[in-house]
Amino acid sequence: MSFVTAALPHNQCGSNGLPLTPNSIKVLGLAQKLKTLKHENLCSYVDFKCGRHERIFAVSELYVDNVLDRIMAPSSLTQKEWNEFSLQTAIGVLSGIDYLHCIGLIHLCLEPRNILLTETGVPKLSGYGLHHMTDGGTLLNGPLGLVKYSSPEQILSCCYPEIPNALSCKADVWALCIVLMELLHKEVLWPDVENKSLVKRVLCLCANKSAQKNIEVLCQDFKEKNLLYETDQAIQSIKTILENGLCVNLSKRAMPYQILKQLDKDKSSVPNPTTNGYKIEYNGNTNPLLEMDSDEVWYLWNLAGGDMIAEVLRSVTTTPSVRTMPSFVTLHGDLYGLEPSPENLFNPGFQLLSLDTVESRLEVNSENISLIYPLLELDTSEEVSHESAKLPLLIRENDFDYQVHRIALYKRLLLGYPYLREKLWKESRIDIPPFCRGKVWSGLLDVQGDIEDQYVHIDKDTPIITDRQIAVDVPRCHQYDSMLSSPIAHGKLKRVLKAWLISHPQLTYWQGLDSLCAVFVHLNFNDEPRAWASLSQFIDKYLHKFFLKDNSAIIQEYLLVFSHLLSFHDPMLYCHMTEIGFIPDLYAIPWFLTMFAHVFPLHKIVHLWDTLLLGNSSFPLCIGVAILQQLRGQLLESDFNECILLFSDLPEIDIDGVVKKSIQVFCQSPKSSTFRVHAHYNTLPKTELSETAIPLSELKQEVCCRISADDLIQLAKLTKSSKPRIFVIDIRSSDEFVRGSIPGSYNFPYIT
Amino acid sequence: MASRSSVARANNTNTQGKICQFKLVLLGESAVGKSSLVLRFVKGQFHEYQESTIGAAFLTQTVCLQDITVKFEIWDTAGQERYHSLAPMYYRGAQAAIVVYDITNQDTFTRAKTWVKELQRQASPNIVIALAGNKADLSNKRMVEHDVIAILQEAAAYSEENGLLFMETSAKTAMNVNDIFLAIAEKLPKNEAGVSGNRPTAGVGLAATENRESSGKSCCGS
Repeated sequence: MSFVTAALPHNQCGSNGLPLTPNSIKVLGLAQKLKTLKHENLCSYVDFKCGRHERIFAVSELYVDNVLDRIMAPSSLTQKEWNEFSLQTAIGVLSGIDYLHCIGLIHLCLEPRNILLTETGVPKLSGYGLHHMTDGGTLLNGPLGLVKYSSPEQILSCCYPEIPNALSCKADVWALCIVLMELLHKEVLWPDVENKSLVKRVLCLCANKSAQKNIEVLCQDFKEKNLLYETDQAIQSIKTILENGLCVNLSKRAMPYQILKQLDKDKSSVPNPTTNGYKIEYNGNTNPLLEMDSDEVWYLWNLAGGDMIAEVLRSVTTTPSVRTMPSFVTLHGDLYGLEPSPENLFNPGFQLLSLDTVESRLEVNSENISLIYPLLELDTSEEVSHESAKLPLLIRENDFDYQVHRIALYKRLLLGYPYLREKLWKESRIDIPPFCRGKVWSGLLDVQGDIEDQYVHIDKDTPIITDRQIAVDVPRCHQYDSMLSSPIAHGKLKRVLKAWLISHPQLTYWQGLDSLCAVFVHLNFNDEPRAWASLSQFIDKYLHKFFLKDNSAIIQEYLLVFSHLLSFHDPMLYCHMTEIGFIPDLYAIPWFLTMFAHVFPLHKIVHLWDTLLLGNSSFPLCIGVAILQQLRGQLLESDFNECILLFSDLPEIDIDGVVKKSIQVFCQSPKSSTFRVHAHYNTLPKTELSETAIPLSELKQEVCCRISADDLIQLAKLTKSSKPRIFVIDIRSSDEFVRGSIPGSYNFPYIT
Repeated sequence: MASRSSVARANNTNTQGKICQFKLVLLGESAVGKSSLVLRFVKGQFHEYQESTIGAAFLTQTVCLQDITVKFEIWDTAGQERYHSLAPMYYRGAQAAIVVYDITNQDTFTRAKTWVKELQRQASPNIVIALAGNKADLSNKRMVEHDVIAILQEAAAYSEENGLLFMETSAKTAMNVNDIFLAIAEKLPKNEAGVSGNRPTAGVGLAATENRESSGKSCCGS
């Protein structure tokens, strides 16, 4: 399921202050879009990887049979059947090209070898992503496609690259016609002709005004010269295609959909080309693999220990490195005197990746049937106590069997969303499989409605005043990540940020918003609307009003509540930090403004947020306390300077530990202790016993949090007879205390 | 790097010399290279994709003059205009400031001038201000040469007028990075009186919590 594609030229030095993005990274960014393409006449791309020396590997669907093999191999079909086969193949390819055209892509590498055939003979295009992912071939050494199948304008555009938009899907129509000629004649056109003379032959066709003439000329080069003069019905259709497609003049050459339409009109008798792809036959044993999307299979293949690059390289004979030494190297690292063989740069060959391992591990038996096909409606709360569930998160995430089970479960939960919302929350408390994290998060964040439509209707192009700031921040946001450092990712990040700004006119861009946004873009790389909607919901819930033009009141309150919470949980640490003047204002603003997205690398943020998303809007405060407590020992020994240096260069934090601790902190905090005026609360009914807003100035004078009467009643178990969870000190005068007091409280009159 | 030899981490082995501690703040438009300058000066490193600073970052570095060790407490601030309200918290009580602009971008120079004005108006009266035209390594790359020269001339004249130290620097190539900090160290008053004169005065701007970190720290022990 894979083939090696391209190696890229050596980088030159930077021109815009920042170093040039390596071409491989650009390609990876561009290629992501290809993963989303699905059409019955396309082999879907599954993944792209970058190996050593900027070599890009593409993983895609593969069918062993292809048109070239059919041309070369003896066939048992009659001529009439063969004609029909040729026509059906051409129609399939045309609809594939048409789909690509609708997406805005061109194939440009169409050749018999790239038209694969399924077992039922449905043509599937492969290699169609090359033009797009190499940015029209500019990121690749050498031209795209084989000369023989190149249309005249394609050859010319290689000579005159400055002409923009010279190429369209009409070039693919031309290529198809040449392939069709070969296919029909069951013979390869111009075998053993050198590239140089091939160029000449193709350009010679330009002299012919009409497609008819071109067809005639080309027919002369086949052994069987008169095939096209048969009156067979299929032949007539094939002629229609050729006559529309072999015009040198671009304005006369038809678009794929025009040809398809004409074929439809010409004969209604032609059997419907959409033979519905292929049907999977179950022969006795069910194979769960067949029910999975190719990207899921690929994910599992990797989990099962697959190493695609190693497998591909094993099949490639490499030149000993001593023979690939350049003869001259400049101080800047540019190499000269290297004779790269074209085969080394671009390798269209493929390497079949075996699914045996995955298949054997997925074999359905009575033991694992409930894991692969989980039943949700059975109330099996403590069921499936997978032994792996107790292992550390990182091991669980790499455990094949465990992930198979979790992914199967979440796939069903997501399909049943929002009906299964409760269950989704419950399962997320255990863990979230990385494979479906993006969707699960948007579910947890209550992203609903037609977000795609909303997103499309936001104007993300008109320049706004914040553009400059976004433009300087985006290229340095989480750039260690290869996906986020590609120009495509920068574009996505900018668009999602702008969409958010425009959909929230009362809020503004604060540095740090980029880090937040990056997490969602990274997770939903091919789904900007979901990234945008998730970001919006996330900010609304956890960072309510934080991005107001003037947010000082909100931040001040937040930081005060944070230090009160710290004093509640760790008075000793609080006192030490207050004593040395190490206030949260000096270190915690980036923490909370970005919900830690600015201080941790992405792989840690996702684990932290997996839990954060399950908590309420006060949960981040608990995470903050948990981080301080993890560094407690160091902080207690440090003075002001050492403390702040410690935070400038945050040491390795054990996120698993922080998560556990923060849950503990959260559970131990009275609900009202983290009350904030500016928080986004679901409008809970307020009683006179709930918490009340206290002016900021007053709050500043206090060292510890207040709790509401509600909480007091609950914690002291005043309504029940069980043991109270708090110790109440009554500071009123003893007279008042005697008159009436909370049961079990102690009286220490406050004397000024 | 020859100039690095005079910059050393604080080891306190130098017992006979005086140790002076100064608070230094970096100000300037975002993405001009404030954090990069500090990182180069303190750690000798350079990251192409230096992440944006939110709020502020804090670092220290020690330089040795003839017989005095000068310890800089460096506050590296966020560049975005929105964070402006936080700035007084950092520059209050600072004895030195480096205002940074990007030599390839005229706007950042304009912004630098407003920072200088604000410092002259609101910061300690004896504050030593240095103007740094950063990204000098790009001088021949990004803009037409004479634009860069025009800014350079304007910056030099402006510094002269306002009594600022001025250098073109490059955090990438380390050009003039240590030199600008050394020049500031030279210019700072190192006698007891001079330093105490720099103690923070009454609060400006934000809330009461803010001058805690600077008071009692600008000491000059021996």
